[in-house]
Amino acid sequence: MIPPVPAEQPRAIWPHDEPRAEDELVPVVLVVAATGEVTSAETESGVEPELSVAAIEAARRWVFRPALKDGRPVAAKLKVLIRFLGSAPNEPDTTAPTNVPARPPAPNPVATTVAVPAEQTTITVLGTKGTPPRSASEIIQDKRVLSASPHRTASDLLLTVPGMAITQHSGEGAAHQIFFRGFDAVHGQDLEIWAGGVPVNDVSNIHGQGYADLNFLPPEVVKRIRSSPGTYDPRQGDFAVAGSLWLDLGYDEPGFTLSASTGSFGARRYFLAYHPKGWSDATFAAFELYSTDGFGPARAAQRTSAIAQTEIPLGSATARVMASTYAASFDSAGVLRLSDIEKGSIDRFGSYDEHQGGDSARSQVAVELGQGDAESRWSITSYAVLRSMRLRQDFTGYLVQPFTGSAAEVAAADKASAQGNSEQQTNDASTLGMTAWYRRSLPIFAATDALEVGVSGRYDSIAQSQKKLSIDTSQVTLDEVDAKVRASDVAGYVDLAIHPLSRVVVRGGVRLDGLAYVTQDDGGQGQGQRRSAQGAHLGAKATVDVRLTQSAHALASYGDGFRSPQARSLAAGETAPFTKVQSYEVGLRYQTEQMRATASLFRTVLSEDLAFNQATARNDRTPPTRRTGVSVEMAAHPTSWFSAAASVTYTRAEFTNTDGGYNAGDLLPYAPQVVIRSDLAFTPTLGQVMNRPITAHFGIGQTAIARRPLPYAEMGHDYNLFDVVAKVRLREVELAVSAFNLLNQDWYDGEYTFASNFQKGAAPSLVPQRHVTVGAPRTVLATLTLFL
Amino acid sequence: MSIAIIPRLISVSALLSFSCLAACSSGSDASTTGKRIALHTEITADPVIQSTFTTGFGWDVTLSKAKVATSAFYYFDGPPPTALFKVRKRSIGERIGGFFVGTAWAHPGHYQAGTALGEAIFTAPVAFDLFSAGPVKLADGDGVTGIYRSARFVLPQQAPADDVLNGHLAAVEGQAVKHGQADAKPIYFRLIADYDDISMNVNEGAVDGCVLDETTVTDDGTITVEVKATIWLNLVDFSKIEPGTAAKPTEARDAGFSQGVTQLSAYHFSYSK
Amino acid sequence: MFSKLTSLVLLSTLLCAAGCSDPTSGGKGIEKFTTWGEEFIEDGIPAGDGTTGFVDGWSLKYGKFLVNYNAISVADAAGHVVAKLDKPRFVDNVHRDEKDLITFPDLDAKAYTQVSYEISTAVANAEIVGDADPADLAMMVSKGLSVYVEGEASKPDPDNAKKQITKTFHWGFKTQTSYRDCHSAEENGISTEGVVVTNNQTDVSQLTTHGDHLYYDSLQSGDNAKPTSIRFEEKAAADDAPNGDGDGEVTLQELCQANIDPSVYNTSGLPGATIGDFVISLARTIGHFRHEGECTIKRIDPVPSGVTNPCDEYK
Repeated sequence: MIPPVPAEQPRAIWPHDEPRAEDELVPVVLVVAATGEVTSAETESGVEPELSVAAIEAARRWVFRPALKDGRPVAAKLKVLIRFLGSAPNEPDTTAPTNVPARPPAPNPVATTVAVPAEQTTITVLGTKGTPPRSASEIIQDKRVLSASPHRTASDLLLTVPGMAITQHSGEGAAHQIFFRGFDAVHGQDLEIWAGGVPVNDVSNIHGQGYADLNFLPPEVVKRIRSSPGTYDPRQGDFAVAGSLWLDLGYDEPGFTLSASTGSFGARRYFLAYHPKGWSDATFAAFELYSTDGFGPARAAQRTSAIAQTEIPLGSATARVMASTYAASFDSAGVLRLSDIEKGSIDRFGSYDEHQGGDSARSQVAVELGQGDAESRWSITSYAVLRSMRLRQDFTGYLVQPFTGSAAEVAAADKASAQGNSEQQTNDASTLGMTAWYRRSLPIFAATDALEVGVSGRYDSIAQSQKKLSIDTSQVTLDEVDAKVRASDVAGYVDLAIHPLSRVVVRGGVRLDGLAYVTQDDGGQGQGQRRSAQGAHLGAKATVDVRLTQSAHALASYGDGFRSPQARSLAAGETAPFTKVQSYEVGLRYQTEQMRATASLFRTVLSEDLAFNQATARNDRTPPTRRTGVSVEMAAHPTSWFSAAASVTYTRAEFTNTDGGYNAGDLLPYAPQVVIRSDLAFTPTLGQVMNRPITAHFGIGQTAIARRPLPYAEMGHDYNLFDVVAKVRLREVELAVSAFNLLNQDWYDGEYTFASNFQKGAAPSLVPQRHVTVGAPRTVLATLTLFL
Repeated sequence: MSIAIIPRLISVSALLSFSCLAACSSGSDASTTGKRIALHTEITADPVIQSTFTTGFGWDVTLSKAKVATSAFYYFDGPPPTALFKVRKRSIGERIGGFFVGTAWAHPGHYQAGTALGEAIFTAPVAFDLFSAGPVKLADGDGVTGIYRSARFVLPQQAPADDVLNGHLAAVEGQAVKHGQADAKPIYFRLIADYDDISMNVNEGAVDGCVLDETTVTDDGTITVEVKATIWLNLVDFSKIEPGTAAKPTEARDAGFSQGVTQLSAYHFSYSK
Repeated sequence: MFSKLTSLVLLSTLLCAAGCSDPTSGGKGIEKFTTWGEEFIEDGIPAGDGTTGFVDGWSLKYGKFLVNYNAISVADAAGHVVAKLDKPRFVDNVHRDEKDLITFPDLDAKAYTQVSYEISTAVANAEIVGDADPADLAMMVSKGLSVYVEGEASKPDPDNAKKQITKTFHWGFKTQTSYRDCHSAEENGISTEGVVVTNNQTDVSQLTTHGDHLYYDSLQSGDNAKPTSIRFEEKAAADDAPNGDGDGEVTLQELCQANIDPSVYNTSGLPGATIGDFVISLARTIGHFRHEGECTIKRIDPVPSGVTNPCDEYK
């Protein structure tokens, strides 16, 4: 028999509409008819009479999908928990899967039950109260903010995270370069990203440590992004240097969605999705096919992806299964010398080498199991990911780069450079991993004190290569890297939450990470010699959260983190050296049902850092650094037809010691100092036609950056871009028009300083010069969607 | 309740705009390391060639003409491999504790240019007359701040039009007499070197590892290169050259001269403000 | 319900564990420095193709190859010196096999990227390594030498195939050189800066002496248009009249009188014009690191006034 599943759970109203400080839970026994209506509701004895009445009233308003026996709807009896929300601010839901079916349209989770067959008496309440924020600036951007302005990819969604800026230098299907709070996280080296409980970062990817390619997700299926800046959470592991992002997947448009789009530069997109009515938004499937000719030569791209997820009760537990497949191929125009654009010797949208580009694929499966209630809860997730990536890029043209090695090696490298430094990188990886945790209340000072212990493990088997190709003939001229890496990352953490005073919560924990790498270099002189290296890191994290008023909190946070090295850089038996990261933050949070505002001051100190060195064309060690900044953000939806989110982040990243050519006080290049983002959405009902309401959605997203330091005391170009969308929907049909870069501004996406020579035979310029990737001009997309 | 949100919204937006103003206008003078500088370029000749000089192989040489073509200079932070160079003036404390006193040699081995800090690229190859009255100004170059230690002198593939060079990359004319035999018949010579000759010794005409007197460059300035024709002729065995006449000297290629033209110690660079 | 006391103890233990000890330290290991002359010094240099042996038909056998090592130093990337040689070591690398110079026990297991050493003038209190002859040390000290080689080279007589032309040589060099930022040759695509000490293991760094470098025909071992070969013919010819005294021994003085032929030798970077200048310059290149690895080479001793060429110091 399949038990009844709640479809609508209107909020429980306190007696006399007077909320109390803490939440109240009231068990209620219901009888659900075959029609799905609640025909009877009873509370147990011992419950406060007023609460009892209020609970029964709430339960009676619930609507269920009726129980099914042999496929036919039947009446069923079940026991549920009605939760009355306390006036203490609702903490954002943070665990990856939350088993809360059909949440009502409020920004925070409210009602919290799952029905069980009448035969059973155990009550299952899952993932209801996730881990609370570890810092003032830890926020959740929910569907309302994510869908306010138009986004083409899931990477675009990252722009809504306060303090984050992204650029693209390798083509529309490659991972973006991410800047976050003064960090140049490159492609994910300093930002830990999880989507649907599965890690997105590639360990020791040859293009960049922690390479995180989010293009496998259609943006519509991301229902929530939790941003955890800093290293304050014991759940943050490898790659969490600037912070972590957790993306939850879900699609809430009930029924079928069929969508087709066409737009500028030959853009075509087809999107299919379904989400069965009555099930939580975690049960869905989606398909996307996208192709474009690109806004200039060598910018064509196509991708396809399919993703499905379901969340079902499994006895007293809840299970979530997610699987997805994705493949993309893309061309890239690469970088241009800024002086060539300004002189007019090349068109802004031109390219020096049109052979650049690549392809990417990702397939994954994840299974999650969890169970518990407010008192005790556990969860286990296991996942498997298959990834492959190929990139061909040409940043330096025919430049003969300084090369160290024996005379024969130098001669070979110079000979290769004469044919062009076009570089091909391939990275194929298989990943297996799991995360598991158990949380239980542990009354020390108060009944709500809790202890959580978690373990996680991840194994990656990677085959990677790097070769130099002749620009003209595409033949291999130099075999630079041919390696296999086996990486293991195992961690355990303890997290304690105590309430020493009624207004104060102290959350603290310890995390131990053990990383091991086995590398086998088959390229160059090595003939398959293997070497292994391992290291461990112990990090302490603590947060003090003081409730100032009903809606306002003050938080102070501290956390130890680490940055792991690229496996190939480790010598045999070397104790893997981790960069030590220490983060500090103080801030204020203000949260009500309709609004959230946070302001925080933060500082991150690194024991050493990496900066792109134009001479060696790779990231080299630099002296220790310090990043200090302030972040102010807010998200509000005062009425049902208006929502707004805005943020300003300012960070100053500088060296603290003088060494190796850098002076104390010098700024770190590349990460922009000021990042501004705003998302506004108006969703009015325009009127009625044939007894059906016409709803509209007007959204505008603004991204602005200012003050990007570049080497040699230069500053990059600022930009301020607007994306808008206008949608009109009549029942099942919706027409939408989106415009990206509405004002058709000329802007530079990425700016870098290094030496290059793209003219064969000419006396090359060897002094590092500014290179840019040009941002897209105005792009318009028209979409027709059917909701059935 | 939704009306009450408005004052809060206003105060938050005010806070946001204020922070934005504060952030955007924060005119801190901190910047990234280093800066770009303009470098003027001058070329001059070792005045020793104005009179007779003795070569390493024991010949007394008097030059009448000497010219060389060049297409670019590059300046690097890697130390030059060998040859005499002047170390930057150290403080007295450093000199007592340090190893170098005035002129010193570094060492042969594997020259590594390091990072390119500056360059002067001439749109067309330039012909330099070593008998010019004074330093000759060439096209300006540019670079970045840093410690300059070595340089590259580039000989072009195509020589510029010039009546002395006559299509070759380097040419010298004069007479040579064996040292100690002042009354012997002088050998009138015209030595030339072409791209193929120098390609035996250097790649793509680039004479690498020339000494640039070590300087920490922090501002615009001038790079001066001194061409030493004495080094060009140091290892020329004139007894192998057909003696010509003063009016018509023998035009010859010589391995010693070709090597000499690509000798890194023939070009000495220095920086001045 | 836990008692408050137990819980507070648990809490403070956790916090202390986080702050107090570092369970992630890597242990300690040993770094040992040795030296070896390779087959070229132990067995001799045959005739060959220019890299495997002399390109001009000569072959050579060393009788002595004396080197005075000094100032071996190990430091980490931040520049902290963790180990330094106490006093110089005097070796004769003609004697077979790898010889121990010094062992540094008890070093923290991690990467030390700044490893350096010197070859400097022999001193009386230098420690004699292996079977090196104390009389040789006394000779080096009295003449102010840092490197001394002696041996015999021969080639088949072009006029009489059954006979050999033989030349002996006894060359003492006063060159003092520092070898800094030593790095290993590329293995598996990676060249390691310095050394990596691993937990409870001994890492061996061999300061290899390359006995063939004195005969290179180019001063730069880098990117040359012409490949570099080893030659002896011009050195042998320096002994013959009119340049030398024809006594069958090639002396440094004779080399310093013999003009170098720029069509055979790449003289770029050579101060001076003689074969002697060339060989004395090359004497600084014999020091290597871990077989084929290299270091940044620098002259230590100041140039005396009035000196313009290396040979001037040997007059």
